[in-house]
Amino acid sequence: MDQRKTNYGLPALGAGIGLRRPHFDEIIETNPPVRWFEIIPENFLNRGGYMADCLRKISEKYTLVAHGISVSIGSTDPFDMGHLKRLRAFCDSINSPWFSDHLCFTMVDHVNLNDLIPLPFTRDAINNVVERVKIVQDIMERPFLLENVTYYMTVSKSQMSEAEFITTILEEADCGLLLDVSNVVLNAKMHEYDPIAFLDSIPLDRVGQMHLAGFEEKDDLLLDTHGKPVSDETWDLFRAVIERVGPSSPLVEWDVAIPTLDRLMREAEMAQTKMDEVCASRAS
Amino acid sequence: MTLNNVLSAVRTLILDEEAPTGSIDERHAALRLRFPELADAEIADLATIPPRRLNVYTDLVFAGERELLRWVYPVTFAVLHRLSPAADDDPWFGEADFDLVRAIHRFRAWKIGSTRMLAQNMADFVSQHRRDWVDRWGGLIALIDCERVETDVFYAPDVDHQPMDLPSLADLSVDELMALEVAQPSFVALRSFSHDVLTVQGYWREHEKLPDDLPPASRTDCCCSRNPHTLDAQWTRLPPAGLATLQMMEPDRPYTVESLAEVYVDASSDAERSDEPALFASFFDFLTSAGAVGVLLDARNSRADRHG
Repeated sequence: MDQRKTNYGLPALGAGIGLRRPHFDEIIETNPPVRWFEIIPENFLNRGGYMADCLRKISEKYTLVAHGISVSIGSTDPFDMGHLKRLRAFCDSINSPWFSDHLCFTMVDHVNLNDLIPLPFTRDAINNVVERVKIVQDIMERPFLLENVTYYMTVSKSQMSEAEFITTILEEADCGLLLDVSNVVLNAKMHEYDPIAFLDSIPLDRVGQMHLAGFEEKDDLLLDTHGKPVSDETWDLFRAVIERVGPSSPLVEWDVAIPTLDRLMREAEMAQTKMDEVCASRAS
Repeated sequence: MTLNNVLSAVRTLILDEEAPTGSIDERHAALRLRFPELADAEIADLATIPPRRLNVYTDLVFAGERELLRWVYPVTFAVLHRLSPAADDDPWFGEADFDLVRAIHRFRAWKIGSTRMLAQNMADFVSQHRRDWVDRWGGLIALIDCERVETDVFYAPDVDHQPMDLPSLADLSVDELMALEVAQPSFVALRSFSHDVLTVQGYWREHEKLPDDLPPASRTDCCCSRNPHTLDAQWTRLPPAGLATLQMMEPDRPYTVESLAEVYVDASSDAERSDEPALFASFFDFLTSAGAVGVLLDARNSRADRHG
């Protein structure tokens, strides 16, 4: 495992893989050389049987990092404190070095939207998120990273840009960034901005982890499906990010048409190789 | 709170209503009427969102729910398509079951991100609002229950008991066997289905299609448990005496085998009781079968109060 640290002070774990159910048995039986797995806590909370058994076996041998999908950091609904405490207990149980979730809302008016809905880029939204990040940090007691999401619509850009919105939240809440490189590529295309300029206008020193994923074109939209290989332009932007931040913990995400574990490992190695190349050229 | 009003309006436009169409001015006017609580600037922001972009989220949200429901209810969805006499003309079986999922949302919004709750919403929707489907095949409610329960059992939290050591049972004396303590884990589900939905499910799994004829009403006593070795949820048919024995047990509480045997004997017919060796063999078979599929677990180290 890469023992270096990211600029944000977290371990640079190298390239990892998302832990997905179709691979559980193979991982347990073959102990593949995977640096770390990202794990979605909600798939395991309050669950026993096969899920708990596999988690127990895999956590004994691998570094697991929890990536949540249900915190709904931008919501105006009060937190379910019991749920946050269960997330904390889960992170403790797998010894997750940090915890992340998405900069969006997934619930409002106590209704689950089951998707990552973008927030308005407004001061109100910032104040709300900052306050809630502090609550999450208090409960989780480990570094907390927010992930930039894809947005197909801009709820409000009358007050500030996406980059200003993200930057202000990260700095006022004093939390880290899970930089989804593919989402930058998608958003830059759909909302017509320069992805490099975007990178240079957000606090990259707060990047603690990265996501890479494939997307699909549908009509004039690019859908963040996590069901295709990483695009060339995403790889190019990934290199640009590594040039700026150095070693990190990137992960190639798949959630649809999940490939074989072998292929996921090859993609992780591709990310690792590119990261090592850029880091080596930075050092020389 | 202003932010809450904005997020609430976005939720409404994604989940509950069609996004207003037309020019920006027309959309502005429609939004003004629909959301009088929003400030002018907030209405202006929402009006600039192209309806297609809002609809992307509508599609993503309900497609996601549809996939979850198809995963929980694969056989039920196959039956629903079978039951529709002219699926192409029936809006309920419109594009990829999308309309069904939206109807379930209108019936009861998905409050928390729990697959179990979403599955329950579909079960309640069908039983309360689609009796016409149930009229076409009376086993539909039982099938929905069967598939929902199976998911619940698969994911249920673990209990404080161990699998029974079945090979060792044959070496025990009768007294030793009767003194053993077993428990029925809380996640075990006992059912008396109105139709033999287990046959439908089994056929679908083997052939990836439904049998030509869906079965008529026929009481099916069974239980769903978690196999102690594979950890898969599985259904097991139960004889009347076996069902009565399991129904007597409070979940997770230890019972001696002797106390189970008493219930089993009482629930057996006079003819069965007249042949004691055969009845004992029948009980022993029930005990080992229940242990093999995890309906009964070894409770010797249980912390719960003892029964029997």
